[in-house]
Amino acid sequence: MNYKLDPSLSLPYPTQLKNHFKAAILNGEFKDKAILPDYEFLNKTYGFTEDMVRKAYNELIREGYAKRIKKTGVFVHHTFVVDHMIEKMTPILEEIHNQGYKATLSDLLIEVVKSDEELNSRFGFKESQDLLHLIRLFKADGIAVLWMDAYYPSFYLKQIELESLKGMSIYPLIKQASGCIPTSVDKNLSAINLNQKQSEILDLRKGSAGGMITGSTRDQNNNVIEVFSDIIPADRLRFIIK
Amino acid sequence: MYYLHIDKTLKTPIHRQLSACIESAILNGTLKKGELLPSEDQIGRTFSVSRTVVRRAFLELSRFGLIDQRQGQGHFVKQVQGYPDLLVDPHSYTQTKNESIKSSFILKEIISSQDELPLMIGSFNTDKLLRLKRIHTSSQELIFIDEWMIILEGSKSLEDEKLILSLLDDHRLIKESILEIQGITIEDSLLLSQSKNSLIYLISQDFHDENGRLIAHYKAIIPSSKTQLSVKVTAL
Repeated sequence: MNYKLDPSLSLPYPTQLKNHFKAAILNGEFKDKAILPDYEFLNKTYGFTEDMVRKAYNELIREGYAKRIKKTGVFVHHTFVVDHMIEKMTPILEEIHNQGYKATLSDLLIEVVKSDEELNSRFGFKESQDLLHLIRLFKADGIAVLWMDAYYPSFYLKQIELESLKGMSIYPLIKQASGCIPTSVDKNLSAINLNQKQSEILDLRKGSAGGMITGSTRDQNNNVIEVFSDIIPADRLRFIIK
Repeated sequence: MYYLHIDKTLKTPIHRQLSACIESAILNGTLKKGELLPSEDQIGRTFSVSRTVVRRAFLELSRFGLIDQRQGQGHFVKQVQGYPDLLVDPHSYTQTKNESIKSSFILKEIISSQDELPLMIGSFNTDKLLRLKRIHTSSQELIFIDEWMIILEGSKSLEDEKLILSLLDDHRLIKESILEIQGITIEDSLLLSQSKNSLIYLISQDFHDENGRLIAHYKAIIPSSKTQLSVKVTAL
Protein backbone atom coordinates (compact mmCIF):
# COMPACT_ATOMS: atom_id res chain seq x y z
CA MET A 1 0.00 0.00 0.00
CA ASN A 2 1.20 3.45 -0.82
CA TYR A 3 -0.64 6.40 0.59
CA LYS A 4 1.24 9.41 -0.67
CA LEU A 5 -0.23 12.76 0.23
CA ASP A 6 0.56 15.65 -2.08
CA PRO A 7 0.83 19.07 -0.37
CA SER A 8 0.81 20.86 -3.72
CA LEU A 9 -2.77 19.76 -4.40
CA SER A 10 -5.64 21.97 -3.24
CA LEU A 11 -7.47 18.86 -1.98
CA PRO A 12 -7.48 18.53 1.83
CA TYR A 13 -5.43 15.61 3.19
CA PRO A 14 -8.44 13.61 4.46
CA THR A 15 -9.99 13.75 1.00
CA GLN A 16 -6.74 12.65 -0.62
CA LEU A 17 -6.52 9.76 1.82
CA LYS A 18 -10.14 8.86 1.11
CA ASN A 19 -9.38 8.79 -2.62
CA HIS A 20 -6.54 6.32 -2.00
CA PHE A 21 -8.85 4.01 -0.07
CA LYS A 22 -11.61 4.39 -2.66
CA ALA A 23 -9.21 3.42 -5.46
CA ALA A 24 -7.98 0.42 -3.45
CA ILE A 25 -11.56 -0.73 -2.86
CA LEU A 26 -12.56 -0.31 -6.49
CA ASN A 27 -9.56 -2.18 -7.90
CA GLY A 28 -10.13 -5.08 -5.51
CA GLU A 29 -7.18 -4.57 -3.16
CA PHE A 30 -9.70 -4.45 -0.32
CA LYS A 31 -12.44 -7.04 -0.80
CA ASP A 32 -16.03 -6.63 0.33
CA LYS A 33 -16.41 -6.95 4.15
CA ALA A 34 -12.65 -6.63 4.64
CA ILE A 35 -11.57 -4.54 7.60
CA LEU A 36 -9.75 -1.28 6.86
CA PRO A 37 -6.50 -0.48 8.74
CA ASP A 38 -7.01 0.98 12.20
CA TYR A 39 -5.89 4.40 13.43
CA GLU A 40 -2.95 3.10 15.40
CA PHE A 41 -1.49 1.16 12.47
CA LEU A 42 -1.81 4.10 10.07
CA ASN A 43 -0.32 6.42 12.66
CA LYS A 44 2.70 4.21 13.34
CA THR A 45 3.35 3.29 9.71
CA TYR A 46 2.57 6.50 7.86
CA GLY A 47 2.35 9.11 10.61
CA PHE A 48 -1.25 10.08 9.83
CA THR A 49 -3.10 11.61 12.75
CA GLU A 50 -6.18 9.88 14.11
CA ASP A 51 -8.34 12.91 13.33
CA MET A 52 -7.30 12.89 9.69
CA VAL A 53 -7.97 9.16 9.24
CA ARG A 54 -11.30 9.53 11.02
CA LYS A 55 -12.30 12.27 8.61
CA ALA A 56 -11.20 10.19 5.62
CA TYR A 57 -13.18 7.18 6.87
CA ASN A 58 -16.24 9.33 7.54
CA GLU A 59 -16.14 10.57 3.95
CA LEU A 60 -15.76 7.00 2.73
CA ILE A 61 -18.76 5.94 4.79
CA ARG A 62 -20.88 8.81 3.53
CA GLU A 63 -20.08 7.92 -0.06
CA GLY A 64 -21.26 4.37 0.55
CA TYR A 65 -17.97 2.47 0.24
CA ALA A 66 -17.56 1.53 3.89
CA LYS A 67 -19.52 0.91 7.05
CA ARG A 68 -18.57 1.47 10.67
CA ILE A 69 -19.36 -1.21 13.20
CA LYS A 70 -19.27 0.13 16.71
CA LYS A 71 -16.17 -0.81 18.72
CA THR A 72 -15.00 -3.12 15.92
CA GLY A 73 -13.72 -1.06 13.04
CA VAL A 74 -14.47 0.23 9.59
CA PHE A 75 -15.33 -2.35 6.93
CA VAL A 76 -15.56 -2.24 3.18
CA HIS A 77 -19.23 -2.23 2.27
CA HIS A 78 -20.57 -1.37 -1.15
CA THR A 79 -23.91 0.35 -1.40
CA PHE A 80 -25.68 0.71 -4.69
CA VAL A 81 -27.25 3.99 -5.69
CA VAL A 82 -30.81 3.07 -6.47
CA ASP A 83 -32.05 6.24 -8.09
CA HIS A 84 -30.04 5.40 -11.21
CA MET A 85 -31.56 1.96 -11.25
CA ILE A 86 -35.09 3.08 -10.77
CA GLU A 87 -35.06 5.97 -13.21
CA LYS A 88 -33.41 4.17 -16.09
CA MET A 89 -34.32 1.36 -18.43
CA THR A 90 -31.09 -0.48 -17.69
CA PRO A 91 -31.59 -3.56 -15.55
CA ILE A 92 -30.34 -3.30 -12.00
CA LEU A 93 -27.42 -5.63 -12.62
CA GLU A 94 -25.92 -3.48 -15.36
CA GLU A 95 -26.26 -0.46 -13.09
CA ILE A 96 -24.37 -2.27 -10.35
CA HIS A 97 -21.60 -3.01 -12.85
CA ASN A 98 -21.62 0.60 -14.02
CA GLN A 99 -21.08 1.70 -10.41
CA GLY A 100 -17.78 -0.17 -10.40
CA TYR A 101 -18.87 -3.33 -8.62
CA LYS A 102 -18.22 -6.78 -9.99
CA ALA A 103 -21.09 -9.15 -9.26
CA THR A 104 -21.10 -12.51 -11.01
CA LEU A 105 -23.76 -15.15 -11.52
CA SER A 106 -23.44 -17.85 -8.88
CA ASP A 107 -26.71 -19.78 -8.98
CA LEU A 108 -29.24 -20.24 -11.71
CA LEU A 109 -32.61 -21.94 -11.70
CA ILE A 110 -34.77 -22.33 -14.77
CA GLU A 111 -38.18 -23.92 -14.70
CA VAL A 112 -41.32 -23.89 -16.78
CA VAL A 113 -44.40 -23.09 -14.74
CA LYS A 114 -48.10 -22.62 -15.42
CA SER A 115 -49.15 -19.05 -14.69
CA ASP A 116 -51.46 -18.55 -11.73
CA GLU A 117 -54.16 -15.90 -11.42
CA GLU A 118 -51.83 -13.16 -10.28
CA LEU A 119 -49.36 -13.72 -13.10
CA ASN A 120 -52.21 -13.94 -15.63
CA SER A 121 -53.41 -10.52 -14.60
CA ARG A 122 -49.93 -9.02 -14.70
CA PHE A 123 -49.22 -10.43 -18.16
CA GLY A 124 -52.74 -9.75 -19.38
CA PHE A 125 -53.42 -13.43 -20.19
CA LYS A 126 -57.00 -14.67 -20.35
CA GLU A 127 -56.08 -18.23 -19.41
CA SER A 128 -53.18 -20.01 -17.83
CA GLN A 129 -50.10 -20.30 -20.03
CA ASP A 130 -46.61 -21.68 -19.86
CA LEU A 131 -44.13 -19.29 -18.34
CA LEU A 132 -40.43 -19.45 -18.05
CA HIS A 133 -39.36 -18.83 -14.46
CA LEU A 134 -35.81 -17.68 -14.07
CA ILE A 135 -34.09 -17.18 -10.72
CA ARG A 136 -30.59 -15.80 -10.70
CA LEU A 137 -28.36 -15.13 -7.71
CA PHE A 138 -25.38 -12.83 -8.02
CA LYS A 139 -22.42 -12.83 -5.69
CA ALA A 140 -19.42 -10.59 -5.32
CA ASP A 141 -16.40 -11.73 -3.33
CA GLY A 142 -18.49 -14.69 -2.18
CA ILE A 143 -21.23 -12.51 -0.70
CA ALA A 144 -24.74 -12.57 -2.12
CA VAL A 145 -25.71 -9.09 -3.27
CA LEU A 146 -28.62 -9.51 -5.64
CA TRP A 147 -31.41 -11.95 -6.27
CA MET A 148 -33.31 -11.66 -9.52
CA ASP A 149 -36.59 -13.47 -9.92
CA ALA A 150 -38.34 -13.10 -13.25
CA TYR A 151 -41.05 -14.62 -15.44
CA TYR A 152 -41.13 -14.61 -19.24
CA PRO A 153 -43.75 -15.92 -21.64
CA SER A 154 -42.18 -19.15 -22.87
CA PHE A 155 -43.02 -18.52 -26.52
CA TYR A 156 -40.60 -15.59 -26.54
CA LEU A 157 -37.72 -17.77 -25.50
CA LYS A 158 -38.13 -21.10 -27.18
CA GLN A 159 -34.49 -21.80 -27.64
CA ILE A 160 -32.45 -20.73 -24.70
CA GLU A 161 -28.82 -21.40 -24.56
CA LEU A 162 -27.82 -21.81 -20.97
CA GLU A 163 -24.42 -20.37 -21.70
CA SER A 164 -25.82 -17.12 -22.97
CA LEU A 165 -27.69 -16.56 -19.69
CA LYS A 166 -24.43 -16.00 -17.92
CA GLY A 167 -24.22 -12.68 -19.69
CA MET A 168 -25.64 -9.65 -18.01
CA SER A 169 -28.89 -8.89 -19.71
CA ILE A 170 -31.64 -11.08 -21.03
CA TYR A 171 -33.08 -8.35 -23.27
CA PRO A 172 -30.78 -9.11 -26.25
CA LEU A 173 -31.90 -12.75 -26.02
CA ILE A 174 -35.54 -11.77 -26.16
CA LYS A 175 -34.83 -9.52 -29.08
CA GLN A 176 -33.01 -12.27 -30.92
CA ALA A 177 -35.65 -14.91 -30.26
CA SER A 178 -38.79 -12.92 -30.94
CA GLY A 179 -37.98 -9.47 -32.31
CA CYS A 180 -39.56 -7.79 -29.28
CA ILE A 181 -37.75 -4.66 -28.16
CA PRO A 182 -38.19 -3.65 -24.52
CA THR A 183 -39.44 -0.08 -24.59
CA SER A 184 -41.00 0.79 -21.26
CA VAL A 185 -40.88 -0.44 -17.71
CA ASP A 186 -42.86 0.20 -14.53
CA LYS A 187 -40.71 0.00 -11.43
CA ASN A 188 -41.74 -0.02 -7.84
CA LEU A 189 -39.43 0.19 -4.86
CA SER A 190 -40.66 -1.27 -1.61
CA ALA A 191 -39.21 -2.29 1.72
CA ILE A 192 -39.71 -5.93 2.70
CA ASN A 193 -38.86 -8.26 5.55
CA LEU A 194 -37.07 -11.18 3.95
CA ASN A 195 -39.04 -14.40 4.27
CA GLN A 196 -37.58 -17.83 4.98
CA LYS A 197 -36.67 -18.62 1.37
CA GLN A 198 -35.31 -15.18 0.52
CA SER A 199 -33.18 -15.01 3.65
CA GLU A 200 -31.71 -18.47 3.08
CA ILE A 201 -30.73 -17.60 -0.46
CA LEU A 202 -29.23 -14.23 0.44
CA ASP A 203 -27.58 -15.76 3.53
CA LEU A 204 -29.13 -13.31 5.98
CA ARG A 205 -31.26 -13.70 9.06
CA LYS A 206 -34.97 -14.21 8.49
CA GLY A 207 -36.92 -10.98 8.74
CA SER A 208 -33.96 -8.76 7.98
CA ALA A 209 -34.59 -5.70 5.87
CA GLY A 210 -34.49 -5.90 2.12
CA GLY A 211 -35.24 -3.61 -0.77
CA MET A 212 -37.40 -5.02 -3.51
CA ILE A 213 -37.72 -3.54 -6.96
CA THR A 214 -40.69 -5.06 -8.70
CA GLY A 215 -41.99 -4.24 -12.10
CA SER A 216 -42.95 -5.26 -15.58
CA THR A 217 -41.37 -4.57 -18.94
CA ARG A 218 -43.35 -3.93 -22.12
CA ASP A 219 -42.29 -4.19 -25.74
CA GLN A 220 -43.00 -1.86 -28.64
CA ASN A 221 -46.51 -3.35 -29.07
CA ASN A 222 -47.28 -2.74 -25.39
CA ASN A 223 -47.26 -6.46 -24.57
CA VAL A 224 -45.78 -7.48 -21.24
CA ILE A 225 -42.61 -9.45 -21.92
CA GLU A 226 -41.20 -9.65 -18.41
CA VAL A 227 -42.44 -9.58 -14.82
CA PHE A 228 -39.61 -9.26 -12.35
CA SER A 229 -38.69 -8.72 -8.75
CA ASP A 230 -35.13 -7.94 -7.74
CA ILE A 231 -34.14 -8.20 -4.10
CA ILE A 232 -31.10 -6.52 -2.55
CA PRO A 233 -30.14 -6.48 1.14
CA ALA A 234 -31.37 -3.11 2.45
CA ASP A 235 -28.02 -1.99 3.80
CA ARG A 236 -26.66 -1.95 0.26
CA LEU A 237 -29.29 0.40 -1.09
CA ARG A 238 -29.17 4.16 -1.21
CA PHE A 239 -31.52 6.48 -2.99
CA ILE A 240 -30.24 9.95 -3.73
CA ILE A 241 -32.90 12.57 -4.33
CA LYS A 242 -31.50 15.67 -5.98
CA MET B 1 -52.03 -19.19 1.64
CA TYR B 2 -48.68 -19.64 -0.10
CA TYR B 3 -47.32 -16.58 1.70
CA LEU B 4 -47.56 -18.33 5.08
CA HIS B 5 -44.59 -20.27 6.39
CA ILE B 6 -44.31 -21.90 9.79
CA ASP B 7 -41.21 -23.49 11.16
CA LYS B 8 -41.92 -25.26 14.45
CA THR B 9 -38.24 -25.85 15.13
CA LEU B 10 -37.62 -22.11 15.51
CA LYS B 11 -37.66 -20.45 18.89
CA THR B 12 -39.87 -17.64 17.56
CA PRO B 13 -43.45 -18.16 18.78
CA ILE B 14 -45.76 -19.46 16.05
CA HIS B 15 -48.21 -16.58 16.38
CA ARG B 16 -45.31 -14.18 15.80
CA GLN B 17 -44.22 -16.16 12.72
CA LEU B 18 -47.75 -16.07 11.34
CA SER B 19 -48.25 -12.36 11.96
CA ALA B 20 -44.85 -11.57 10.42
CA CYS B 21 -45.73 -13.53 7.26
CA ILE B 22 -49.08 -11.78 6.89
CA GLU B 23 -47.57 -8.40 7.69
CA SER B 24 -44.89 -8.68 5.02
CA ALA B 25 -47.47 -10.00 2.53
CA ILE B 26 -49.58 -6.90 3.17
CA LEU B 27 -46.65 -4.53 3.00
CA ASN B 28 -45.16 -5.94 -0.20
CA GLY B 29 -48.52 -5.99 -1.91
CA THR B 30 -49.17 -9.73 -2.13
CA LEU B 31 -52.31 -9.11 -0.09
CA LYS B 32 -54.38 -6.27 -1.46
CA LYS B 33 -56.58 -3.78 0.36
CA GLY B 34 -59.91 -5.21 1.44
CA GLU B 35 -58.86 -8.80 0.71
CA LEU B 36 -60.31 -11.51 2.93
CA LEU B 37 -57.72 -13.43 4.91
CA PRO B 38 -58.06 -17.20 5.37
CA SER B 39 -60.14 -18.12 8.40
CA GLU B 40 -58.62 -19.08 11.75
CA ASP B 41 -59.88 -22.60 11.29
CA GLN B 42 -58.43 -22.92 7.79
CA ILE B 43 -54.97 -21.80 8.87
CA GLY B 44 -55.11 -23.95 11.99
CA ARG B 45 -55.94 -27.08 10.00
CA THR B 46 -53.41 -26.45 7.22
CA PHE B 47 -50.47 -26.04 9.57
CA SER B 48 -51.87 -28.19 12.42
CA VAL B 49 -51.67 -25.42 14.99
CA SER B 50 -54.39 -24.46 17.43
CA ARG B 51 -56.94 -21.75 16.74
CA THR B 52 -55.77 -19.82 19.78
CA VAL B 53 -52.38 -19.33 18.16
CA VAL B 54 -53.92 -18.07 14.94
CA ARG B 55 -56.28 -15.82 16.86
CA ARG B 56 -53.34 -14.32 18.72
CA ALA B 57 -51.59 -13.58 15.41
CA PHE B 58 -54.69 -11.83 14.08
CA LEU B 59 -55.05 -9.88 17.32
CA GLU B 60 -51.49 -8.66 16.97
CA LEU B 61 -52.08 -7.56 13.38
CA SER B 62 -55.26 -5.67 14.23
CA ARG B 63 -53.41 -3.92 17.03
CA PHE B 64 -50.88 -2.68 14.48
CA GLY B 65 -53.80 -1.44 12.38
CA LEU B 66 -53.09 -3.73 9.44
CA ILE B 67 -56.29 -5.77 9.44
CA ASP B 68 -59.94 -5.32 10.30
CA GLN B 69 -62.09 -7.86 12.09
CA ARG B 70 -65.71 -7.97 10.98
CA GLN B 71 -68.04 -10.05 13.06
CA GLY B 72 -69.47 -13.03 11.22
CA GLN B 73 -67.38 -12.31 8.13
CA GLY B 74 -63.70 -12.71 8.97
CA HIS B 75 -60.51 -10.70 8.82
CA PHE B 76 -59.87 -8.19 6.05
CA VAL B 77 -56.76 -6.32 5.00
CA LYS B 78 -57.25 -2.75 6.14
CA GLN B 79 -56.91 0.19 3.81
CA VAL B 80 -53.38 1.42 4.23
CA GLN B 81 -53.28 5.10 3.46
CA GLY B 82 -50.24 5.95 1.36
CA TYR B 83 -48.38 9.25 1.15
CA PRO B 84 -46.04 8.90 -1.84
CA ASP B 85 -44.90 12.53 -1.61
CA LEU B 86 -43.30 11.83 1.74
CA LEU B 87 -40.39 10.11 0.09
CA VAL B 88 -39.51 13.06 -2.07
CA ASP B 89 -39.46 15.83 0.53
CA PRO B 90 -40.88 15.12 3.97
CA HIS B 91 -39.80 18.54 5.19
CA SER B 92 -41.88 20.60 2.78
CA TYR B 93 -44.74 18.12 3.01
CA THR B 94 -45.76 19.31 6.46
CA GLN B 95 -45.78 22.93 5.42
CA THR B 96 -47.50 22.99 2.05
CA LYS B 97 -49.02 19.74 0.82
CA ASN B 98 -51.52 19.02 3.50
CA GLU B 99 -52.70 21.52 6.07
CA SER B 100 -54.41 18.98 8.22
CA ILE B 101 -51.09 17.50 9.31
CA LYS B 102 -50.04 18.64 12.76
CA SER B 103 -46.48 18.69 13.99
CA SER B 104 -45.38 18.73 17.59
CA PHE B 105 -42.07 18.50 19.38
CA ILE B 106 -41.48 15.50 21.59
CA LEU B 107 -37.84 15.91 22.40
CA LYS B 108 -35.43 18.79 22.82
CA GLU B 109 -31.99 18.17 24.19
CA ILE B 110 -28.42 19.31 23.92
CA ILE B 111 -25.94 16.54 23.28
CA SER B 112 -22.21 16.64 23.06
CA SER B 113 -20.61 15.63 19.79
CA GLN B 114 -18.55 13.06 21.68
CA ASP B 115 -21.60 10.83 21.43
CA GLU B 116 -21.76 8.38 18.60
CA LEU B 117 -24.52 10.11 16.61
CA PRO B 118 -22.48 12.94 15.11
CA LEU B 119 -19.95 10.39 13.89
CA MET B 120 -22.59 9.05 11.57
CA ILE B 121 -23.21 12.46 10.05
CA GLY B 122 -19.69 13.61 9.45
CA SER B 123 -17.10 15.60 11.25
CA PHE B 124 -18.44 18.45 13.32
CA ASN B 125 -16.01 20.99 14.63
CA THR B 126 -18.12 21.85 17.62
CA ASP B 127 -18.83 20.17 20.89
CA LYS B 128 -22.51 21.01 21.27
CA LEU B 129 -25.48 19.87 19.22
CA LEU B 130 -29.15 20.60 19.61
CA ARG B 131 -31.34 17.59 18.96
CA LEU B 132 -35.01 18.10 18.17
CA LYS B 133 -37.53 15.39 17.48
CA ARG B 134 -40.99 16.00 16.03
CA ILE B 135 -44.00 13.83 15.34
CA HIS B 136 -46.45 14.51 12.51
CA THR B 137 -50.03 13.40 12.83
CA SER B 138 -53.06 13.59 10.59
CA SER B 139 -56.52 12.94 12.07
CA GLN B 140 -55.13 10.98 15.03
CA GLU B 141 -52.94 8.83 12.82
CA LEU B 142 -49.22 9.18 13.23
CA ILE B 143 -47.58 9.56 9.85
CA PHE B 144 -43.90 10.07 10.46
CA ILE B 145 -41.20 11.25 12.84
CA ASP B 146 -38.37 13.57 12.03
CA GLU B 147 -35.27 14.66 13.82
CA TRP B 148 -33.01 17.71 13.60
CA MET B 149 -29.40 17.88 14.69
CA ILE B 150 -28.30 21.50 14.77
CA ILE B 151 -24.84 22.83 15.53
CA LEU B 152 -25.03 25.28 18.38
CA GLU B 153 -22.83 28.29 18.11
CA GLY B 154 -22.44 30.77 20.94
CA SER B 155 -25.68 32.40 21.98
CA LYS B 156 -28.27 30.03 20.55
CA SER B 157 -30.07 28.11 23.26
CA LEU B 158 -32.90 25.65 23.64
CA GLU B 159 -35.57 28.34 23.56
CA ASP B 160 -34.52 29.50 20.13
CA GLU B 161 -35.57 26.41 18.25
CA LYS B 162 -38.25 28.25 16.28
CA LEU B 163 -35.74 30.85 15.30
CA ILE B 164 -33.26 28.18 14.34
CA LEU B 165 -35.77 26.33 12.21
CA SER B 166 -36.81 29.51 10.39
CA LEU B 167 -33.14 30.27 9.81
CA LEU B 168 -32.72 26.87 8.24
CA ASP B 169 -35.70 27.48 5.97
CA ASP B 170 -34.16 30.72 4.73
CA HIS B 171 -30.63 29.62 4.23
CA ARG B 172 -30.84 26.00 3.41
CA LEU B 173 -28.77 24.85 0.51
CA ILE B 174 -29.41 21.17 0.19
CA LYS B 175 -27.35 19.34 -2.33
CA GLU B 176 -29.13 16.04 -2.04
CA SER B 177 -31.04 13.84 0.30
CA ILE B 178 -30.45 10.16 0.79
CA LEU B 179 -33.10 7.50 1.17
CA GLU B 180 -32.36 4.21 2.87
CA ILE B 181 -34.35 1.23 4.09
CA GLN B 182 -33.75 0.19 7.69
CA GLY B 183 -35.27 -1.83 10.47
CA ILE B 184 -37.18 0.25 12.99
CA THR B 185 -35.67 0.97 16.42
CA ILE B 186 -37.65 -0.07 19.47
CA GLU B 187 -38.14 3.54 20.54
CA ASP B 188 -39.55 4.54 17.16
CA SER B 189 -41.70 1.42 16.88
CA LEU B 190 -43.48 2.45 20.08
CA LEU B 191 -43.93 6.02 18.86
CA LEU B 192 -45.26 5.00 15.45
CA SER B 193 -47.22 2.01 16.83
CA GLN B 194 -45.56 -0.33 14.34
CA SER B 195 -44.47 -3.85 15.07
CA LYS B 196 -40.88 -4.40 16.19
CA ASN B 197 -39.80 -6.03 12.95
CA SER B 198 -41.36 -3.55 10.56
CA LEU B 199 -39.26 -1.43 8.25
CA ILE B 200 -38.78 2.28 7.77
CA TYR B 201 -37.61 4.60 5.03
CA LEU B 202 -34.94 6.89 6.39
CA ILE B 203 -34.44 10.15 4.56
CA SER B 204 -31.45 12.22 5.56
CA GLN B 205 -30.41 15.67 4.44
CA ASP B 206 -27.45 17.88 5.23
CA PHE B 207 -27.86 21.63 5.54
CA HIS B 208 -24.97 23.90 4.64
CA ASP B 209 -24.52 27.64 4.92
CA GLU B 210 -23.28 29.95 2.15
CA ASN B 211 -19.66 29.05 2.85
CA GLY B 212 -20.38 25.34 2.53
CA ARG B 213 -20.10 24.65 6.25
CA LEU B 214 -22.37 22.01 7.68
CA ILE B 215 -24.92 23.64 9.99
CA ALA B 216 -27.48 20.92 10.53
CA HIS B 217 -28.51 17.38 9.77
CA TYR B 218 -32.10 16.33 9.22
CA LYS B 219 -33.64 12.91 9.10
CA ALA B 220 -37.17 11.69 8.62
CA ILE B 221 -38.41 8.27 9.68
CA ILE B 222 -41.34 7.05 7.62
CA PRO B 223 -42.93 3.63 8.18
CA SER B 224 -42.73 1.57 4.98
CA SER B 225 -46.47 0.86 5.17
CA LYS B 226 -47.25 4.53 4.67
CA THR B 227 -45.65 5.05 1.32
CA GLN B 228 -44.26 3.40 -1.78
CA LEU B 229 -42.18 4.68 -4.61
CA SER B 230 -43.12 3.89 -8.18
CA VAL B 231 -41.65 5.11 -11.42
CA LYS B 232 -42.48 4.53 -15.06
CA VAL B 233 -39.55 4.57 -17.45
CA THR B 234 -39.78 4.70 -21.22
CA ALA B 235 -36.84 4.19 -23.51
CA LEU B 236 -36.15 6.98 -25.96
